[in-house]
Amino acid sequence: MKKIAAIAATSLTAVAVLVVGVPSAWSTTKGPQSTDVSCDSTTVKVGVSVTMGSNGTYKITYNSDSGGVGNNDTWWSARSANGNDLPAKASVPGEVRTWNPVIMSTYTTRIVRRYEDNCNGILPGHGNYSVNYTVNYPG
Amino acid sequence: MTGSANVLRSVLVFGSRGRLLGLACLLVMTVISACASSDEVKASDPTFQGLDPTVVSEVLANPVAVKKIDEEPAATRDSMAQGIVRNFIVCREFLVAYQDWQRTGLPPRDPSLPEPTNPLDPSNTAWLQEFPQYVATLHSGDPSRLRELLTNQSGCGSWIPASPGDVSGPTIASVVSSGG
Repeated sequence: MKKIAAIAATSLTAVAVLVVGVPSAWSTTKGPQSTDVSCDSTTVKVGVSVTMGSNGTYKITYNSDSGGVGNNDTWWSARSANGNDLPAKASVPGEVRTWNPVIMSTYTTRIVRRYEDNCNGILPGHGNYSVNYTVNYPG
Repeated sequence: MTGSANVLRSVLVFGSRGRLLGLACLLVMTVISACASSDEVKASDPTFQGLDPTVVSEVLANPVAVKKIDEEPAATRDSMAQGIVRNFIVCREFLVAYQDWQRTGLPPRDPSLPEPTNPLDPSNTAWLQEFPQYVATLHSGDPSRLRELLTNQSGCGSWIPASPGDVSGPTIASVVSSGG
């Protein structure tokens, strides 16, 4: 009886591995973190740096925003320590952007507002808004 | 500097018309130079010791590279500049390796990673990670793996000019993609 139970357990484990799959590289999370971004749509905010442990998917989740105006549409990209860029992709809060395959390196996230807006009311300057985001990468 | 000296000499040697023309040229060269060179990083800096001075000059005259250097926070600016120079050298060497491989059908010899006298982080650590991947493509026996690396959206080929100094010319990725 015990032998049958052991075989059944082994079979179930094998089925689970087949269904779920084995991850090709462990995904590491940095964040969530918040940072202020200018509403002038030209000032690039330098965000978190991460070091990838293997080639794979670089993922940025724009979790939420605060302040600013409209939907705070934002460009996201990353630059490697040797000057190579991930092409900029735009997103609004709640959206995810991915790049794949990305060559492993140390990447710094870069953030800039998509459209110029006045987020400062009657006060001088464009003002800022805050973005909350998370970076996932192969650790 | 030699170009500026020549223009200056023409201003001194030629007449008033020549002086006017020479001054105009000097002004244009000054503007171009100001646009392309970083205020913070100089070719004579210890950052570039041990690296090919021709490539250092090319990088500091490349507007895209200079913008990347100037945008970098002060703490890592020198590292970025050094990393970009190594990037230009490595990417072109692997372009040549790819072209040789296509032409001869034989995997080329391994290029070596250019070693600055004063390696700076984070770019040095990034190179120690990245470079073995490039070499591994040569050992794979499959040129398409090197092709993928040189045309990758996050790779060096997507922005580095295939020909030295040809800022507006084709990138390494576009040359590889077009079968060049």
